[in-house]
Amino acid sequence: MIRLLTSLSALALALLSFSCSEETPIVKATEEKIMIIGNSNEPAALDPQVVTGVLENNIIRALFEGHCVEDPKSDSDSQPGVAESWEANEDYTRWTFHLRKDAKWSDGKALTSEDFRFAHERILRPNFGAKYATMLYFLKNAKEYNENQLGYILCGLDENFPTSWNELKQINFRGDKNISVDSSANTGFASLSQADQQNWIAHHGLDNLKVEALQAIQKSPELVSWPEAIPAETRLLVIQRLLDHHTAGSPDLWNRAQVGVQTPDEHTVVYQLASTTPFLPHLTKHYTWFPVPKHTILAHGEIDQQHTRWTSPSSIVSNGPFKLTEWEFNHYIKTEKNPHYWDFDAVKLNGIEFHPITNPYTEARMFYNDQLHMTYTLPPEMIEYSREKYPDSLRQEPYLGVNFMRCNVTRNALKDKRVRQALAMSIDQQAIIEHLLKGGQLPATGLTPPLSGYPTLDVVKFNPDKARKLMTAAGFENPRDFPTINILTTDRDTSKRLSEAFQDMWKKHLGIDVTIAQREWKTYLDRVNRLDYDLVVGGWIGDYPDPTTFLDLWKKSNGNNNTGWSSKEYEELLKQASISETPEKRFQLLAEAEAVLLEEMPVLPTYWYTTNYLLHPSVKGWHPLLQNSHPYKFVDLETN
Amino acid sequence: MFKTILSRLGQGILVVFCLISITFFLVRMMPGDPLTDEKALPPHIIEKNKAYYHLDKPLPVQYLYYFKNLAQGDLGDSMSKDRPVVEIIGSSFPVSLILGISSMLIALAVGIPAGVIAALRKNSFIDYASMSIAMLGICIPAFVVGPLLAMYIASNVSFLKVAGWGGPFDWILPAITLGLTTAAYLARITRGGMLEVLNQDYIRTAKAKGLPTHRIITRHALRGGLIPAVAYVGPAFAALISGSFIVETIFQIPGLGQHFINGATSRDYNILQGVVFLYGVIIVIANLAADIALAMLNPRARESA
Repeated sequence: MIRLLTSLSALALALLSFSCSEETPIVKATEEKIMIIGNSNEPAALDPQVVTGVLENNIIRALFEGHCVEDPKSDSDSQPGVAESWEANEDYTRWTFHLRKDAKWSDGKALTSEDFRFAHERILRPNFGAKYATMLYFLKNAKEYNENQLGYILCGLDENFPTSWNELKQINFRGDKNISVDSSANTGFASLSQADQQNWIAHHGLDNLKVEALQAIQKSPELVSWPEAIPAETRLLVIQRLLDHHTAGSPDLWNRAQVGVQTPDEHTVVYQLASTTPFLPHLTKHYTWFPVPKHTILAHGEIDQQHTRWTSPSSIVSNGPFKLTEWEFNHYIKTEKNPHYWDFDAVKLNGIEFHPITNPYTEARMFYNDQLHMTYTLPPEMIEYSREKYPDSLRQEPYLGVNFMRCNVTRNALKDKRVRQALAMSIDQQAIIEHLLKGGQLPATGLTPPLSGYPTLDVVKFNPDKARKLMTAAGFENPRDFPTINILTTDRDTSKRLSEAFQDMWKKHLGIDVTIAQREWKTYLDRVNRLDYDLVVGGWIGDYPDPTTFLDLWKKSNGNNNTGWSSKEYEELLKQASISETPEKRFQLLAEAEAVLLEEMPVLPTYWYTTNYLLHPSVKGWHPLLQNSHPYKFVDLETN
Repeated sequence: MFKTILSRLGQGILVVFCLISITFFLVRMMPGDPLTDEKALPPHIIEKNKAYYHLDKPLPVQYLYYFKNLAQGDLGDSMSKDRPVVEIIGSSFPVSLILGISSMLIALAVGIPAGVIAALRKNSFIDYASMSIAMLGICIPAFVVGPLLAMYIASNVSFLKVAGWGGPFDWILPAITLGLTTAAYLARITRGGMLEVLNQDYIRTAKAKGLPTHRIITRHALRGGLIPAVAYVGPAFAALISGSFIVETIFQIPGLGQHFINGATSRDYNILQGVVFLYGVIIVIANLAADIALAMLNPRARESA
């Protein structure tokens, strides 16, 4: 027994002495120039054309590189990436990128314009089903190709087709989902009655019909309600084209769709855009626009095949400053400096580690105990503590995002824009920021957060007196006449407390009663998508630094509108902006559109986001950036 | 005995089958689906992605697909992380197994002696003290104990980390957090079992025959007194090795428990079904093991079986 005790205590002593001499993980990593980053969750994937999230961006940005790279200090500038230089035509509808000749993949193979073209084709391939394909819709014909708009591609783009697309487009190619279809229609097209067949065709549209239905139309063209202007022979020709396409096995239409990507030579990529796009260099910094290694991807599957294993550590080939070395699921991702990177000498770090730490409190504890160089986030209740104990580490920086409350304008109580304005005016944004969020957020006086060159709107103001007058004008002089409305919110802590603040402010300033319904995340999304709410807390993070990333949301056709609101005036202004000659004029028109939106108030802007996180003082070359998309190649670690 | 095991196994397979079937339909009844996203996806993209997971097909067809794949050892692809469920379980389960075994060892090492001592010194200070601590252990949840251990112990002991999963040192605090509740239950159950046995005639006989106390306890009392504890340990062990969302997120451990929660919240049907399936299998095996152990301890159970 005594012998056991002595050996145990000897072991304990040995452990203690061993551990005392050991330096903290961060000291060691800093010396080795390995940056350790908290990254909130396991990435959904590491394929630039598959993922949709911010945490994936943090990793992919280290592994891949597009035409341009984020400037480490400035949001409005771009540094050269794979492209050495780039230029646009006068109205920014055509951009040319000149690739550097020494650009290589991490396996040493040369990176050419074909890798870019391949990447763009891949993400747009209708069968690939990329969730973020819409980011490429800026390219001419990209949307049409991705949505497999057969009529447009097969007939509209064919110069030899007897009727022009301008007339053809009146044909119901895309289908009208408002026309209901007999639910028993699954039994087969042929078994339907003639009226049901007509409905079926109108519901689905010519583009989405199968051979059986097309053949039926060929026999009796009156199944389709053709526009008057289309002559009978053209009608048959259209159907014939569609039929030929299907009988040929529905081949892919990339070559016929004339998507706006051209590669005149190995080192030049030319983009033809659907509308004026002065911010294209910013877009090329988004992973959806990154090149992917054609040779590797095709070695693991077809171009339009998702879920292949080409991104596993043993297979992946990338072109960024770092390359993937280890990927332990839900545990860590390790990268090291890529020896084939064109700007190898400029890269200061030897590697980056990403840890999927879902619990922000755990993450903060790990940072406090010297296990991380950087956290992904910082919960509001830990901001004060961090400010006090780790003043050199606390970062609070503006972020390209806005928090708002959607109004369901189809609800009687919220139909009147004066009511919505009154609701907005009785939100004390400053109080919410100071007492609840505590993260240095900015009161959202408009929807679009401050962006360089864009005249930020200064419309939404706390003004309870005016709010009460508006309610009176809307017929609710007595608050009791106003029906009880409900705020839908997620089960996240901040949104819940935010809703309680709104509830309290509206009771206090307007005297109206508001209830709160908290729903789990997917249930919440489901209800928002189905317009099954009165008011709902939400937010939006910009994909690129341009007002359209926030303003396009409220178009009638946008899948994220979810308010029931739309305005012809608003969409006309956005359209005008998309064809305006100068960037200045464009911004002016966009601001006018935003003014319309804020007058109508289908969304009540609350605050502009900031990122709150902890950054170790040994990290150098890290400056505030609106999109928080820091270029790792400029980052360094120095022992103090 | 062999027959009993076989029939138990048969029952187990039936239980697991029902479990998967119920889970299969329940997860699909939740609002939203794997493709409900904060950024709404265009309908044609949703269609393409649903088709990949067969979600575009009628429920009975999906159900058949699932069992067809299951028969081939394929649990499908995760719908939120781009990899097969089998691979996810393959990387997470060993971690949870290590954590589960170490916390079970802690629970056994603490719980059983505490229960035995409390029973022997019934109504003494030791009894009250250990049972009060056990009550606390049951009542204080892991999300309180975990951060406290991290903040006050790991921060001050240099070889312990507040979170992370590297070497065996990193197993200590999570195992304590996870094992504590089990230890507390075990202590109370052991105490109850021991008290019942200690009042039995054969113990009195042994005492009257003049056997030394330690022999009475080890030879006679423990054998019967541990029966309730053993019955508890089986399912408890199954629960421990299938992971714990709370302990895993507090200590940043790549274990299995988080997939139960994340699978449900992200509507990742395949991963949820996968982990529920695994949990079902573990429960069945653990219960079976407990039954066998009980039969060995208790001749009456052997006979009735």
